[in-house]
Amino acid sequence: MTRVAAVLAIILVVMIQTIIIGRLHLLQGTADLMLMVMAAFSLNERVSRPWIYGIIAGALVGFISAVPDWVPIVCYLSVILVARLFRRRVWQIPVLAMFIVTFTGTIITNLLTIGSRALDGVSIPIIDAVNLVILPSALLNMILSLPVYAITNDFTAWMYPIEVES
Amino acid sequence: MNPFIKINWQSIVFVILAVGVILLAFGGYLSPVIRIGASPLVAVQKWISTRYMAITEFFREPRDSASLIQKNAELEAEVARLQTKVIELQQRQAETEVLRALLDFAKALPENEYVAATVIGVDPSPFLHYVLIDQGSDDGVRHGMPVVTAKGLVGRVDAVIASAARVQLITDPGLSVNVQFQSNKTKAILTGSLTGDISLELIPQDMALRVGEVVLTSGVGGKFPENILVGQVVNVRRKENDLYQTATLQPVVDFSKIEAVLVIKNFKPVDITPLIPTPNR
Repeated sequence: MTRVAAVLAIILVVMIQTIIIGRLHLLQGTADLMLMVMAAFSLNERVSRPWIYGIIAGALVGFISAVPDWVPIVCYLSVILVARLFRRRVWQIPVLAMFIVTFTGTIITNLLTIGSRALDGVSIPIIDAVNLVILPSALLNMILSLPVYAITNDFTAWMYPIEVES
Repeated sequence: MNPFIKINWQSIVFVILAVGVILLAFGGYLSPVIRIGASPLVAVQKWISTRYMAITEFFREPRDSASLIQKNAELEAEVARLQTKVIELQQRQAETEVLRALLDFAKALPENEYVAATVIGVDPSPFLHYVLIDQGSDDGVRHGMPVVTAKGLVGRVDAVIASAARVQLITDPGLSVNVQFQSNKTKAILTGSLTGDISLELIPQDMALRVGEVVLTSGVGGKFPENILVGQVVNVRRKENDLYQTATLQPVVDFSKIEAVLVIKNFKPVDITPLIPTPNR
């Protein structure tokens, strides 16, 4: 039941991304809601095996997006990996970890997308990409990361309730 | 004499006098007297009545305010409901206008068969200029079909599932379109960019290109039908040492507000992949 709810939530996030978030531009950058959800999900200690959700989310985004299917999967798995690494090191301030993971994940995701487009024969000027897409996207992601972190944590608490020992 | 009888006589006289006065009054003989005597009584009555009404209103006012507040709330709710209705109707009107424009466009080019589709999303990646539409292979949409609006060229179908499709916009840096200028049929290549700007390349140096020149699809390459409006030239860059001149194009379609599109069903794109030379192995 928990996993079904998580998959439904992932589908909902993809829909919100394509319908609303994808249309909100800062210069040419947009926020990546799924990246932030994956980051918040992975930073939560209650969630075990977040990579399963990373693969599902990546496959779903890869199916909808025109980027090669492997790109979102690798991106979200990288985000989960970074989140797990930071959770062990800066666990005292999870919001700080969320900021760091969001920023790092944005850079990784966008660079991988540029690389995949280059493999497809589409050259994207790196300076323009950094100035017009990557940095604005990172800023948008950082702004949205706090509310996304709070909502995802509430959702996770609902999904994985703490068992009280009697 | 018995005092009881005396009292009775006084009462009888009083009653007779009272009845007489009443009968005179009913007969109208006492009107002047009544008028004079009643005026101060009426004034007093009026004064007391006015004060009574004022006091009554004072005590009734809170109840009226409560009812007014309730009525106001009801009216505000009604206004809000009507405003929602107005917005809904305006939205429907906008959709109807878009569909009417598409219908007019379809009627103007009867040789083409169209599938009308609504844009239901955009590509999640900011590096890709794609939109998602709500018509798929069940509706006759196939890979490579050109997509237009009433204004002009939008792009081409890139991927299809049963009930939806993904459309690559002409602003995407991965798409090239063969175009021609309306005035002299000179050919050029249109390419998108990361920023969504569209540029024209491979324009011959000897062409006298002017700002405002209208650009149409040329049909070369077989990806798009001929003579679909694309946009107008807004900027020309010509250097003496370059082989070709380039230009910036203002597309006729506003890609940020695109809501509904037409997929040209009866156009079969030509697959020239086997003709493209590949490196010898």
